[in-house]
Parts: sequence; C-alpha cells; structure tokens
Amino acid sequence: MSLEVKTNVAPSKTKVMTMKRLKRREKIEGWLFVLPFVISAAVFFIGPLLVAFMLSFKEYSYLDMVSMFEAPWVGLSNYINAFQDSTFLRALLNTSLYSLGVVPIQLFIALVLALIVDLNIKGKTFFRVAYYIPTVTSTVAVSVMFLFIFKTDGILNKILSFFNLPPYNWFGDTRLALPTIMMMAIWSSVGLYMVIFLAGLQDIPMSLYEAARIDGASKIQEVLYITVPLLKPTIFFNLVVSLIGTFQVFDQAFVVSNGTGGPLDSTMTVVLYLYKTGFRDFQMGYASAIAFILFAIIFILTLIQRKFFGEETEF
Amino acid sequence: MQKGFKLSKVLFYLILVGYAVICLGPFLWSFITSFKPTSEINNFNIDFKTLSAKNYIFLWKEFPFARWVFNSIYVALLVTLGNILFNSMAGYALARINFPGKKALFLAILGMMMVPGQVVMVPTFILLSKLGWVNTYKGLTIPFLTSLFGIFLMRQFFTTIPKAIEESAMIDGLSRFGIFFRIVLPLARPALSTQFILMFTGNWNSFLWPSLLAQSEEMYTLPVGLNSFYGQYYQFWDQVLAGVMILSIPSILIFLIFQKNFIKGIATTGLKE
Amino acid sequence: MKKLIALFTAAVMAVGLFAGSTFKPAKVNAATKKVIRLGVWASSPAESELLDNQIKEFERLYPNIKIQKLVITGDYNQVMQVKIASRTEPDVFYLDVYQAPAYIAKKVIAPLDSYLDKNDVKDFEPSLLKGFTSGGKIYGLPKDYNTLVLFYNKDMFKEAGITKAPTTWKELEEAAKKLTKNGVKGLSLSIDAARFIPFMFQSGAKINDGDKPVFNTPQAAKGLDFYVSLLKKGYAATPKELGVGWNGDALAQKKVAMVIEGGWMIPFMKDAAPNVNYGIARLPKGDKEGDLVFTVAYAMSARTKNKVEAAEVIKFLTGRQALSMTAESGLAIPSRISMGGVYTAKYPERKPLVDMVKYSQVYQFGIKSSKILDALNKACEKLYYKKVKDAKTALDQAIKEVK
Repeated sequence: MSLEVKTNVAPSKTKVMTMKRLKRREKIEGWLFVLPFVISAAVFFIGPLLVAFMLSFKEYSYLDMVSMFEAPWVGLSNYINAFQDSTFLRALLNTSLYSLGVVPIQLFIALVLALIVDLNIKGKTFFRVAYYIPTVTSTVAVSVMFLFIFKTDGILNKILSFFNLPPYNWFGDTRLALPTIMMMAIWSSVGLYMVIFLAGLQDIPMSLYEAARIDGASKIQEVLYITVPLLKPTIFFNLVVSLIGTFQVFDQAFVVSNGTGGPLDSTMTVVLYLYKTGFRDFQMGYASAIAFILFAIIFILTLIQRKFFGEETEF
Repeated sequence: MQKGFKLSKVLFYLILVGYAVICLGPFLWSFITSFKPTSEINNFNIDFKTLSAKNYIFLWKEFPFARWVFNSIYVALLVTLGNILFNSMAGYALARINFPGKKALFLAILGMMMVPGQVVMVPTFILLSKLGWVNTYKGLTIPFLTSLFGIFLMRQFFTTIPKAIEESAMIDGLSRFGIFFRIVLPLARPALSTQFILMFTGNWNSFLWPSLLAQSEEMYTLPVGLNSFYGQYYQFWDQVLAGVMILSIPSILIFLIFQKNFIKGIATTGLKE
Repeated sequence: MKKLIALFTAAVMAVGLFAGSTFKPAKVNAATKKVIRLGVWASSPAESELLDNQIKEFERLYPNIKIQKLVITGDYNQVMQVKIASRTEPDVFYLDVYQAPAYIAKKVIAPLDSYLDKNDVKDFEPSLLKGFTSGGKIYGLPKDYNTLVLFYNKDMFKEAGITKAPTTWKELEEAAKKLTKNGVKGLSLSIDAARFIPFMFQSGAKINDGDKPVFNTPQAAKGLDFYVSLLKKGYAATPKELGVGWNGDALAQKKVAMVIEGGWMIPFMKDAAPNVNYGIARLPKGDKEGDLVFTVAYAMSARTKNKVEAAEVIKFLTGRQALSMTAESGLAIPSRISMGGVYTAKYPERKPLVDMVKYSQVYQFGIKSSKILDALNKACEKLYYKKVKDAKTALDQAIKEVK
C-alpha cells in the first residue's frame, strides 16, 4: 500500500538485531493473542461441528432414542440424495439468485450512504440514525409493513398504476415473491453495512484527500482512486459477510411464506429447506449433509473473492 | 454560489430525506401502533384521542419486567465487553503478528462463519446441558464471549493501521501487549465503536439461544420474556410492537452514542509525528 | 469512550456480584416432594392464567407433587427436539395431534393405559382420542380441541338479503357471489391444506390410509376443485391478496363476509374487532358432512423417572374438575363429552364448534404428515396458478412426490 511506503523508515543495524529477537517472541505472542478465541472455539464450536459432520453420514432424527453415535451409518447417500432432490436444487437456485441480486445492490447503497453521512452535511446525525434504524426494526413489523405496501391494492401498485402499469400480486406471484423478499432484505440490512463502511472510512488519512485536491482531482476521482482502494479490507469484509448472510437467508423467507417456501417453492431457500427436512421431517442426517454442501459452496466462493482481492499478499 | 449548484444541493437533500422516510416509515408505524388500542391496529389512520400507554403499563405490571431488563442488560454488556477485548486481540494478531498457523486460523474462522447455525445448535446445546449451564448466567454469557464475525471485522480494520507506528514503539521497548493496549486500541476507536454497536445490538436482540438456555421466568432475557405471552394462533400487533419498541430503543441509543466516534481524524492523529 | 467502557465494566461487575448472591434456584425438598416438569408453549395471558389455576388446584389436592411449568418460547417443535436430543425434555408436555405419530413411532412418549380408568376414558371425544392411540394403546390425553366452522359478518348478510348461513356448497357459493361487492369479497380462503382438507372430506375423500397417502381420488379432486373454484371465480380471495396476515384479519377488517376458522377467532374478534357483528355456523356440507379437528394432548416422556406422579398430573389436567375450569373460561372447548355440555350451556352461540366434532377427523395423516401436507399445498398452488389442467392431475403429481 502506498501508505506503507510513505511512512516506512530504513532500519539501522541494531534495530535489525532487536527485530529478529522480537520476531521469535512474536510466534508465542501471536498465539497468546488468539488464545481466548481458540479455547472458546475449541470447546463450544469444534466439537458440535464434528458431531454435525458425522451426522451428515448417518440416518438420524433428534427424536431417536438411540444416541447420535449409535445411529446407523449411510455413507455418502445423504449427499448423493441431495443432488437428486429437485426441491433442494430449486432451493439452491433460489438462494444463488437471491445472493446475486442482494449482495451488489445492498453493498452499493451502503457505500454511497456511508460516503454521504461521512460528509459534513446538515443533520448528519439524523441521517445516520435514520439509515441505521431498519437494522433494529423487528422482522414482524417489517413484514407487516411490506404486506401493506405490496398488497394487490397497496401503495406500490397505486404508484405503478400512475405509470399505466398493471397491478401485481407481489407475494402471491411465483415470479415476484423472491424479488419481493430481496427488496425486504436489502432494505433491512443496508444500515449494517453502512456502519461498517463508515468506520472503515475513518481510517483513510485526510492528508491523502488534501493532496489529491491540490492536484485538482474531482470528487468522483477521489472516491475511485483514494477511497475505494484504501477501503479494500472493509469492502472485502462486507462482501464476505454479505455473501454468507445471503446464502444463509432464512428469516425473510420463513416469515413471508409461513415456513412453506411457497408459492410453489419460489421462496424456498437452502437453509429453510434444511430446517424443514431436519426439524419438520425429522431427517437430521440429510439436513446436515445439506448444511455442508452449502458450506462448501460459500467457502469456494469466498476463496475466489480472496484471490480477487489479493488479501494475503497485500498486508 | 451558482444557481445550478443550489439546485443540485436541493435535489441531493431531497433524495437523502426521501430515503430516510423509507427507512423510518416502518419504525414510526410500529411506534404509533404500540400506543393504539387493539381494535385500531389495522387502521392506518391515527386517532390521537385513542392513543395510550396501556401496552407498556400492561407489560410492566403483569410480568417480572424489571428482572428481564436486568438480565438483558447484564448479559448483553458482559458479552459485548468480552467480545470487544477478545475479538480485538485475535483480530490484531491475525492482522499484524506473524505466528505459525495464522493463515490456517484465519481460513478456519471464515469457514466456521459459513456453517449454518441450525446444524450445530443441538450438539452445542447437549454440550451446555452436560456442563450444567442451562438456566444459568454462565450459559448465557461464556459461550458467546468471542465472535467469528467480530474477529474478522477487527482483523480487517487493523490491517489498515500503518505498521510504522508499532515498529517504532517496539523499538522503544514496548511489549506486544503494551503496543496493543496503549497504541493500537486507541487508534481503533471507529472500529471498536462499530464492534460495540454491532455486538451489543446482536446480543440484546438475540432470541434463539436465550430461549433455549433460559428455562425459568426469572432467567428470561427481554426477547424471550416478550415472546412468552404470545397466543398460539395469533398475536396482537399493538402488544407485540410495544415489546419491539422497548427492545429497539436501547440499540438506537447505543448507536447514537457511539456513532460520534465516526469522525475524520481520530484514527489518523497517531500518524502525525 | 474509554471512560464509558470502564463505567460499563464496573457496572457489570457490581451487578454480577449482586446477581451471584441472590438468584439461586430454590431447592425443593427432594425426599418428600416429587417435582414434575410440565412443558407448555407460550400462550396469551388469559390462557396462562387458566393453566396456572389448574396447577394451583392440583398442588392443593396432591401436596406431595409440585408442578414446575416450563414455558417454551419460540418454535415449540424445534425446541422440543433440542430437549429430547439432550435428554432434558419435561416429564409431561403438550403434544399437538399433528406430531403424535412421530413421537409414538420413535417411542419418545410412554403409553398411559396402565394408569387410566377404562370407563373414564370413554368420556373423551372418540375422534380426538384416536389421534393419540396407536396399536390399541393410548399415548396422550387430549385437553381441548377446535373444529373449523364458518364465521360470518351478520350485517353484511343482512344487507345482501341473506337470511341464514349457508349449509351446502351450493348455498355457500351463492352467498359468496352475492356478498362480493364494493371491494368486499365473499370469503377469505388461504391456500393451506389445514383449510381445504375439510372440503375433500365433504366430497367423500380420504387423505391417508394408515401411513399410506390415498388422496388422488376423484372425490378428493372434487373437493379441491370446489375450493379453488371459489377463488378463481372471484367470490373469494387469499389473505395475501387482501393484504392481511391471515383469514381472521380479513373478517376483522371487514374485507370479507365469511371465513373458515376455529374457536381461536372468538377472543381475537373480541379484542381486534369489537364492532364486527359476526355469527358462527356449521361448515356447509358437500356430499356429506366433514371437518378437521385440531387438538392438543398432555403426553408423558418415556424417560421420566416419576411415571406415577406424571400420570397423576396428566389425569388431573384432563380430568373433569380441570376441564370444567376450561369450559367456564370459554378459552377452549374441553375434550370431554360431559364437559362439552357445560361449555355449550354457558356459550350457546358457540354450539356449532362442538357440533362439528362428530363429523371431524383429527389433523394428522400418519407418519408422513408433513410430507403429505407439503404435497397437498403444492397441488393447491399448482391448481390456483393454473400450472396443471385439473385437480386430479395436481393430486396425482402430489402423491408421487410423497412416495
């Protein structure tokens, strides 16, 4: 990064000596810093994770009287079944479409909003709070509001009729139900990503903007050539978190379809399907296999992003 | 000033206010509905004469409400503080310290975030119940003291702090812990504020785990308590939304307090040598 | 901010000490008093009060048994599985008839026969008890029930010149047609198997034969066809089209003249729509009478250490005394035949709810219940969205999905 070059001081000989000693100490100190997390994860996460992984090769339900360790093994059949299960494949398609639509739009709006409320504009605090509020508004209230806005004779259709467009049955139409949920999701999560962008923006030194201004850069150029490159770690974070969040979407789909994924599976998402098979149809082994397939998909997508961002080499 | 400039400014504010209205609409509707009588909840007009605080009074009088608020504050603060400390430490090490296994650990953290919670929920609960932590404050707090999301967040923020600052401090004889607590953390105020906001809100609103772990009424957190008197077949929105309001107001206050740290210059003051 | 954090830390620590010292679970004298943990789902304050009073009465009569009520918030079915998997389920718990086949098949709950008086059992509505019976053994005693009936707006009926509630499909359609005007629909019908299955029963269909789905008959298609035809002809609309959460809202907001719902509508309408003058009528009949009944039982965990005491709790809570408290409260319809009379005597206008029970089958379709319902819902959706040519095709496809 340009920042590093600017502030790096050429080390003298004695300093190199101490640095070497320090490097050795760092190996231990590094682990000391992560120790609280490692202990917590080892106790509370790794064990349950391994159990879930084991279940993905078994036939098991939580109602079974035998323990999960005694449950019968079924080899890879849960995984194989998943790829022959048309509902699961539909859920995977829906989830991918959902993610593809939601991630770019919500991050773009969040970044623009963050840039705006980072400026010294009038009523800055008000706008910050206003844009953040959807993240604390309950899903119940949101779905009620959206039902009202999107109903057949609702506000949205009234606006559309103004432009001579026909009224739509937003939640009821198999083609529109998923986009409607996407709009709900974008609306309610933009504030979260805005806050993170906003915090990331504070780490960009003002001096860089001042220098650019002297060179006669326009506002747009400042954003493109200073803000975005220096905001890369934050963008990467938001991209990964947003990708994970959208691939694991559950709440909105559950609320809008009353847990059915309907109409005609148009709002069936992977995690909703996992919940249904695991807890409603009592096939926890199969549900676990679905979870690990989803995991593999997100993991691969994240690794690709990471390569794209050059995360490892840069710092 | 030119006329064109003014016009674009008006347009700019119009868009800002417009989006703010879209954001605030559902919240304000919830707020007003929570004061309406039940028979008026489906009516989108507001009759100011009929508004009353009866739902709030009802919550206060009928339930051990103070106790739930206390539990929620206690759990949320303890968990938030644990997260602030432990996530920052881990995030810092992952961003700045070269130790063996760092890359693998980071990938593991990313990986763990991707496992759907529904499949690890039951094994985790079995573990906690074997530990005897069900229906205790221990169970409500200790498993949640670190967060994958928080560590990842802090790591990304710490990568942007210039290395030179720490290096010079290291040469001055400060230990890693000294550097971390005395130099790096004060530089990371925006990041710490973000973490405080997100961790507090997340824990304050969390429902699934507290609902599994808190079994008796006196251990309920606010979201669990508020869910404990919904009817089986339907809920009255005025009552539900009064609860929702009580839940969301602390989160908004926390945001209001901590967003003050999102000011240009805090993070960069350390740079001026 | 540092100061703030320091302040918070201090506060949390102080509070922690305080908390540690005061809130310890009260120890019960285990030697003399048996504790039975009772798992229930969250319910409205009035319903909770009724149960609390029943428990109080039990503890007065059985001083050596204490009932510890555990309210399960959130998703009851999911939480119960968490508790069963961790072997921490309550000794006695609510069991929806819909879940009963799975719980019985997996041997999660214990048969109660050895604790029951055979003559007394005859007092329970037989259709309800059937839902909790398997292999001749009784696995749960129903506490109350709800049938589906027709709720109609009396003022709208009067205005449309309809003098009595419809009693047949033909009358229902005619009434719905007449009532559909000025932005109001005749009926609100959700695309939900729990609402359209009664129509399939009325045309003489069966959903399942034991664990085998048999719903792809011409009779079943006839029932489904009629239900969807009301929507297609525009005499009815779904709650989503009406912009409401469920059928009840549609009646409360005067968007429709009729809905098909259960007894839970009564307390709802009292609070949400005191100005709507509504009546309750029996479900119109098709080729024959038919209805669904929803019921909940108290069941006993197969792993409880205190079987005898748990059985006492179940017997009391479904006994005459406890159920007469239920009948008096009017919050639910008691599951005993003898108490149905008490209920209708006090609330005569609700008699249709009790009348329908003898034509009803419980909401339960064998071990594959949830698969069958998913498939039926999809069939109805397909028909509604015109993805298939007729109801029979939709049902044929649905039955393949289950198998």
